[in-house]
Amino acid sequence: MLRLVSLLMVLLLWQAGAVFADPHHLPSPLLVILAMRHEAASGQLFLHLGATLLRVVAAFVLAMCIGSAIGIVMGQNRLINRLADPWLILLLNLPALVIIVLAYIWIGLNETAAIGAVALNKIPNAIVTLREGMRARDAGLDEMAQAYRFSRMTWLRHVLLPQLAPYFAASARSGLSLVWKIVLVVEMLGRSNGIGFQINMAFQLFDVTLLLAYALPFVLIMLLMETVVVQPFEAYASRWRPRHA
Amino acid sequence: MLEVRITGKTYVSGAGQRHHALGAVQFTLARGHVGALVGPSGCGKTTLLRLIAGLDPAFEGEIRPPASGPLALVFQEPRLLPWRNVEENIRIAAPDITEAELAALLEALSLSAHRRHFPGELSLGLARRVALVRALALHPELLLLDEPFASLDKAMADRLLAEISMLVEARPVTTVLVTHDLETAIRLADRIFVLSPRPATLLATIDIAAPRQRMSLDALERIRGQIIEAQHLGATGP
Repeated sequence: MLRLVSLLMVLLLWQAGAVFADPHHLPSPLLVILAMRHEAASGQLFLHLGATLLRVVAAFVLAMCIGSAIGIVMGQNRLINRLADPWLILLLNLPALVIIVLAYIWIGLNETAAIGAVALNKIPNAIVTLREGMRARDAGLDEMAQAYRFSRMTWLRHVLLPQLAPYFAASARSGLSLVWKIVLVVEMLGRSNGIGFQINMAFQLFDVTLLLAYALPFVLIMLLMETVVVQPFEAYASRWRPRHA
Repeated sequence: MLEVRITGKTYVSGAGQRHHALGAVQFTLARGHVGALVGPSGCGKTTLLRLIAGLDPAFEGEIRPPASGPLALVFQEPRLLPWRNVEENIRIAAPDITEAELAALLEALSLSAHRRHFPGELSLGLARRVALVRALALHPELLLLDEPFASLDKAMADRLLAEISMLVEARPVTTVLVTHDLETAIRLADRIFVLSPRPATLLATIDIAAPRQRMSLDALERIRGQIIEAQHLGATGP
């Protein structure tokens, strides 16, 4: 409920701003909604929205799986961590744009390069978060699992993963927002569909209404994903925590 | 029978220094008997218990646990899985336990009302009991208890002590109990192993005749005196 009020405030501020600003620079919410309807009626909106969404999902899943696995291994094994840490720092500090351009040059202007480049941008963050989770885990519980001869599966399911759940959630949350932002850049630079491609078109026409008509639905979808996927997962993963007033 | 023949245990600290955690500790404990390791805080009792539990294979000597049955260790902290309720915590450690057995164990330790509670909702005393049930649910051949009454108030400690002694009488299981409290050792153990300050060596073994419930106060005092004397001799040398 509070979230809804907060969102309405944004809309109100926007409307207020639009009253004073040049409509070419800041169109009112109504104008944007009309433009959205127009794009939706022609089917263009869904085409581009779908293309971007597919790339976001593919890059996100890829990055979360690979990044989490590497992070868990690095958090558990000191030697591997020391060997891989310089690579990690390099990757963390490599600008997204450099990775994207290199991917397009080396692999070609195709979907593999696009998704790979986005995933590569997210992987180091997932590694850092999950490595932190591995390090912060309760060694006493591991020892208990060892003393009680837990099988590898039991340990994973009942001891390790519940401890990592908050870190997965944190990583997913920051990952989702990071991935979709980078997907737009990737589309702008080397794809012929997707929200990023359309935003580039709007930029060339200096059409802010069109730009917002494409950007907004996507923000809303991301907001929805956060609300229906990430938050329920977090609530489920922390249901055992005693509630404090 | 449990046979412990440790000649030494050292570990290397982060700074690269060698520390002696244990000296010579050799003893045997008959099947179904309770042995208490008594010694000052920090002497290496917990280290010794971890070696017996097989959690640390790096030591000099040999430990032969009884037969092939399972071993259960009750840690000083309850170490329950906070994201699983009481029943799940027990069932994860002992998947073969039947409903009847579980109910009986929970009843014996007055935990029936807490079956669906999460560890975060339990007091330390209750959580300790759950940890004890988890250990007993395995039908251990060897039960290891690390300071089961530490940081409990006197009333709670007495109650848990009474419950454990009842359980131990009801179904004998070879038990090694670590404690710094002489009274606990005297009330529960058949055999008391007196350890020196760090690095712990075995100073004396004191057998206590059963049944100790009917033991006179004099007899209890005599055993207490024996333990204190052994500790004193160990500190000053013979």
